[in-house]
Amino acid sequence: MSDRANLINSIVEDLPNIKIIRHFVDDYGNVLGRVQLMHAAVELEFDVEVKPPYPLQFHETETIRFLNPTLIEYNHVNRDGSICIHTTHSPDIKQKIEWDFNSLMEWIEKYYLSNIEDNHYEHIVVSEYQDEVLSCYLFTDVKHSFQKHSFGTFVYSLQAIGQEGKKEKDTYLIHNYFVGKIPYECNWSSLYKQQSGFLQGIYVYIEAPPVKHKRFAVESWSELEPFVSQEFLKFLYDIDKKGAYKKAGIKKLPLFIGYKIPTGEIHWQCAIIDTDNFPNESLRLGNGYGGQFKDMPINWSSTKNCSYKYFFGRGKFSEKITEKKILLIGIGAVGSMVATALTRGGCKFLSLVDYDVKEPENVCRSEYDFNTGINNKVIDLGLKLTKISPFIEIIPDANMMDAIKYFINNGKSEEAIKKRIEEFDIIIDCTTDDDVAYILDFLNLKNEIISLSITNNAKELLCSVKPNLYDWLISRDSFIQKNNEPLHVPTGCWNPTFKASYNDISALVQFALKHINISYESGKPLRHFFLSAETENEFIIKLHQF
Amino acid sequence: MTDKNKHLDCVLSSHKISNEQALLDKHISKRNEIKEALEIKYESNLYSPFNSGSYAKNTAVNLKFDFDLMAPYKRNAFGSNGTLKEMFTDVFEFLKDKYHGKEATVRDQKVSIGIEFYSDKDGHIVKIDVVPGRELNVDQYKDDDKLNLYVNKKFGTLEEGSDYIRSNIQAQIDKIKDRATAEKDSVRKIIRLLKVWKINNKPDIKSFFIELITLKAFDTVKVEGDLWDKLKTLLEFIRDKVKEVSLPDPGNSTNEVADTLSETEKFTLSDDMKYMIERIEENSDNVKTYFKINENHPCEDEDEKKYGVKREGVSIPPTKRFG
Repeated sequence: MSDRANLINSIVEDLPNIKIIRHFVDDYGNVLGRVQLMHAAVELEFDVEVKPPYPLQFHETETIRFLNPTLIEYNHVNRDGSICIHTTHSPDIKQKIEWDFNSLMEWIEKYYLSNIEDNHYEHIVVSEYQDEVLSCYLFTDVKHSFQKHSFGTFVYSLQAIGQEGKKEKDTYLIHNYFVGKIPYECNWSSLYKQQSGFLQGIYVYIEAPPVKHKRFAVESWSELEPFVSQEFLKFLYDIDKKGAYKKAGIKKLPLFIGYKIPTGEIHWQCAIIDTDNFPNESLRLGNGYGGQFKDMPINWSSTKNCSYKYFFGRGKFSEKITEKKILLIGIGAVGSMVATALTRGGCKFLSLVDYDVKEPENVCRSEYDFNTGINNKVIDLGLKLTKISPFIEIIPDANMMDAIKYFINNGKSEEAIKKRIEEFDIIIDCTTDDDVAYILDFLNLKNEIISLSITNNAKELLCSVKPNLYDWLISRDSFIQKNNEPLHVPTGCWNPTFKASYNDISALVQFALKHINISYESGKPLRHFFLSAETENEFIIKLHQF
Repeated sequence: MTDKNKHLDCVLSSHKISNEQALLDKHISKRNEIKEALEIKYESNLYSPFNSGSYAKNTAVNLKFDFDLMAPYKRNAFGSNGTLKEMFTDVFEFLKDKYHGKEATVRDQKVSIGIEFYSDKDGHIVKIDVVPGRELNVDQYKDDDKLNLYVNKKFGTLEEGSDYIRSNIQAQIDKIKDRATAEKDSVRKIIRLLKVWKINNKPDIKSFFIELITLKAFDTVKVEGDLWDKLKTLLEFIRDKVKEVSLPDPGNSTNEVADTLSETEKFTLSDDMKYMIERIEENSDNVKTYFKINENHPCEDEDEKKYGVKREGVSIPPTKRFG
């Protein structure tokens, strides 16, 4: 017996209410033993498996396992009978063993003796089939209420080919579900709806989750049979007989199985049908024929609910921003950072305006990528933003501001320009073009307007709003620190520009957006403000509101 | 560094009504014209209209003359069952017929009808608000000066369509005018400075509110020192007290003028004052951002240079802001 096994034996022996049934011994790096826990009048036995990293965690899971497959009906028990516990980090093996056994005691008390049902829902446990190529299907909300036992086809496409570990993993996106002949589109942004390379799968909505032992997905097709109708089996039978998929060279046909979860949403699991060997067959039922599933294993593929709620579940901007139609004018360093933050923050509608072209020099302190080459900024950034979020509608409009400048002085177009701009709720002007600020102010627009600009070396970030959007900006010019530090003057016929790194700028932009978000969320009016970045002794960003 | 007192004096001087004598004369002339038109139209149903705005109270600034023309109607001027809404609509329709689209734009406002005359050859714009009011009972106005106004659009806590009783309007005017005249270096200057700020930043706040809260501050706390000290005391008073202050109408103590601002508007006004004090104390130059000189009438500096005129040291100002 190794020192490690001896140590574990001696620690466990000293624990109260625990009896070692089988001493801990080495087993190819692991240390295995069996214990009995006594809690109140209950005595339960567990096989214990201590893995080599113990007491360290591995891939965010504990490296000690307590197994008792007879407890599978209880909450927080994995399919192999291991109890799901999580304890705090400790590098001290004695301390860690005490905590882990205490955690097991707590499980017995809460879930074995008291049968507590947790408030938060956990998805059913599905064992993904380890095929040569793995796949994952991303779905989102659809504006349709499925009826129990309804079935049909759905359209999906390959989104990306990636890797999980050493295996290829293909990600697919669900586009719509056909109910009869009517397609119901999924709530992705229009760019995702327009993707090409469409494929077809089939779905059945069974309403209740297809599980055994409360939360483990059924493992064989015959176990699934009680959940589906004869009509669905007939539908499947007809597909098999027609052999259309097989003829088209499609080997794997995804079957989406939908059910309701406690939040009222539909969750879909995906079983893969081998088109060479459909899992169903017909049988004689009285005077007619019926269908049944064969007793063969289900190859489950993984699915993810990517609806807006889950996609931005970990954090987003206030709905008072995300639900608004936003017009972003000027997408240079500051504007592109604002655009990215809004997109990652859950905004749903963003129109980008900038006449300029992205060049390699822009990349180091903006959100643009080098590998897309010289490109119109609105197109380049627009594509990038849609890659980030499948829920944002991007309208690139390179020429809007140019057109406004051309026609604003002709005495006839003011109302038309106002009407066009007032289609938006919020205008964010990052052009630092005083003409633009002047026009936006002059037009006396209904929109909320936010004008953002930054000074040389990112010493200040200015935010001007209504009223007095333009006057306040102009008045700040006399306040801007009169440092003699030179501007960045590139070679060639360029206007000098400010000096600052991505980090310098984004620190201020993110601070400003945080403040703007708080103002919107609290319902307090957003005021003119500037941020001053002090770097002399320590880095401090100060907010100065007006 | 800006000398705050010098700047504030310049703000007051540049906003003197007398700087705009020609425009003032045009306002008086148009007011008289409207007054006569109302008297001809409504004959004996109308008592004598009179001026009740800031000009009458000696607290006006030349950005906005605040010419309010009170039109006091008799109780049965619009029939014995006539409503205040009918009164408001009738006067609005009359003024619209007379002026709208011809020489002015006529709008129905919160309790008044705004007549904004088109810009004349000098670029002058005359704006006069006509406030229709009706005596509470037949012939009572002669005794108590009380008038019912119609709330045409919701403001503060006053709901659209409700009545708003103004009383003893001459007493209201006199109270402000007397204090503004007697305490011209304090009360009057502060009211006029706050109005300059209000017109540029919060045009929806009623001048009457500014006037009354200023008087309240002078009656409640010590307002002393130089002009900036006094103004700062006022700003602090509004910051700290606006959320709970009571501003009874001098003519009728049951009228709460503080109700012309909603709770949210009071909180915002308090924050306005808080940040204004912080910014000016942080950098005296910021006083120029909040209290702007009327650049049409800059002040003479001791060096005989125009004070308040924007100057740059170079002929082409450098770019200072970027994106």
